[in-house]
Amino acid sequence: MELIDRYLLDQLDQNELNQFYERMEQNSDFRKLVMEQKQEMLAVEEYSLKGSMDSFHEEVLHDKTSKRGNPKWWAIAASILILIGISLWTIFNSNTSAEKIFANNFRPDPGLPTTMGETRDYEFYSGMVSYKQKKYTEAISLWKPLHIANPKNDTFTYFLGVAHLADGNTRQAAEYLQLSKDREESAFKEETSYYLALAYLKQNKVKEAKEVLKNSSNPANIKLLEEIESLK
Amino acid sequence: MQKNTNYKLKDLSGSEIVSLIKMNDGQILKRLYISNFRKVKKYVLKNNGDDAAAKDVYQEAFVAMWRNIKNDKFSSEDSSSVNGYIYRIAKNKWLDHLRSARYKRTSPLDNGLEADAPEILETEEKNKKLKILLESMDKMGERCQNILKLFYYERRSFREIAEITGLDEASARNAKYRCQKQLKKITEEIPIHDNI
Repeated sequence: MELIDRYLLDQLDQNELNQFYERMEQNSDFRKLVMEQKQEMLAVEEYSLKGSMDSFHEEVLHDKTSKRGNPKWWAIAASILILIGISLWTIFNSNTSAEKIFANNFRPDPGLPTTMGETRDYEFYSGMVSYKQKKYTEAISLWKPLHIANPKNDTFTYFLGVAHLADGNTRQAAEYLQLSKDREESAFKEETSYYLALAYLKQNKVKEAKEVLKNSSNPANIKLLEEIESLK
Repeated sequence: MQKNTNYKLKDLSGSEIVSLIKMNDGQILKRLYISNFRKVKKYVLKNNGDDAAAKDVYQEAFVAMWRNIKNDKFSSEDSSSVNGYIYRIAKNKWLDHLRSARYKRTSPLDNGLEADAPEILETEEKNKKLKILLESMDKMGERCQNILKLFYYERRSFREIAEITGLDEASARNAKYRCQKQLKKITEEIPIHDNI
């Protein structure tokens, strides 16, 4: 019956619904009919649902194969990470080799004897005392004004370079030492080259380090140069 | 009448999802089906099952979920509880399957040892009737299957059914009526036997 259909499909308004319930209560045959039709409808629905599920399932498989495509993405991401890892490792490693040579060879310059001479050299020797006590920052702060006042003084330049290098300030060390090296005649010529080369090594500037030691005559310098050459 | 709007599953409240399921909304059913399969498959595969078993158990569970919602045996707070519900049903079905397989091997006397409580008998009656009806649907011609599906499952108007089937509205109405009658007839012709 069409009325029952409408009831089952929730198409009755409140009034019609009330009347419908009343009829079901009063008429047991009618109620039975409604129940039967309800069962039929549910069966039709279930049958249809089962029929649609296979087409849903096709989409699931399609979904899953596209998900299986993702491993490609993973593979790409993984290979990129591996490449990055390898490059970092090689960079790190080459640093380590040059740094190793630095570490093996660097000994702070022993410095000059600290016999107090003339008064005007007081700050210098005071700084030297600090330097020998490994109080590098103190030594640097004492020597720096001297260097500024006497830029051509090779001793100040050289020892500032060495003090910085001992203190771990590689960049500043290299600056001072390069300054010292650029001067033609220096009492510390070979030492300057030696420490400058070491400073460059610490900065991984292998080429520059070799360049610095090129014309050295000092055996220590020559030995260092040989070590650097063996890096490649 | 079924609508075909694009819902986002997670934006819907539990009661919205339940009403849509009750109306056999194609979108929702499809989305629920697709999004819940993987977890069930994983479970079945992990527990001595294969792909085919996973599909079977899943579809049984899915229909069971649908049936319970239809019969107001389930209420939901949000979409995730429907998902959880499907999974629980599937899991239980699979465990039952495993247990019964084992049980059959160890005990020859495998008669459903259930108490004959009246509600259980009534449910059994209903289940039998349902089985018979489903069998009858199967026996019907495709044309009738389709018309009944359009009317009851997809809940289309006669005008839409006419458009889809190429009949005029009056003929569509008639066809549905005749198919309904045919279903009843086939049902009566099937003997009531004990299905295992």
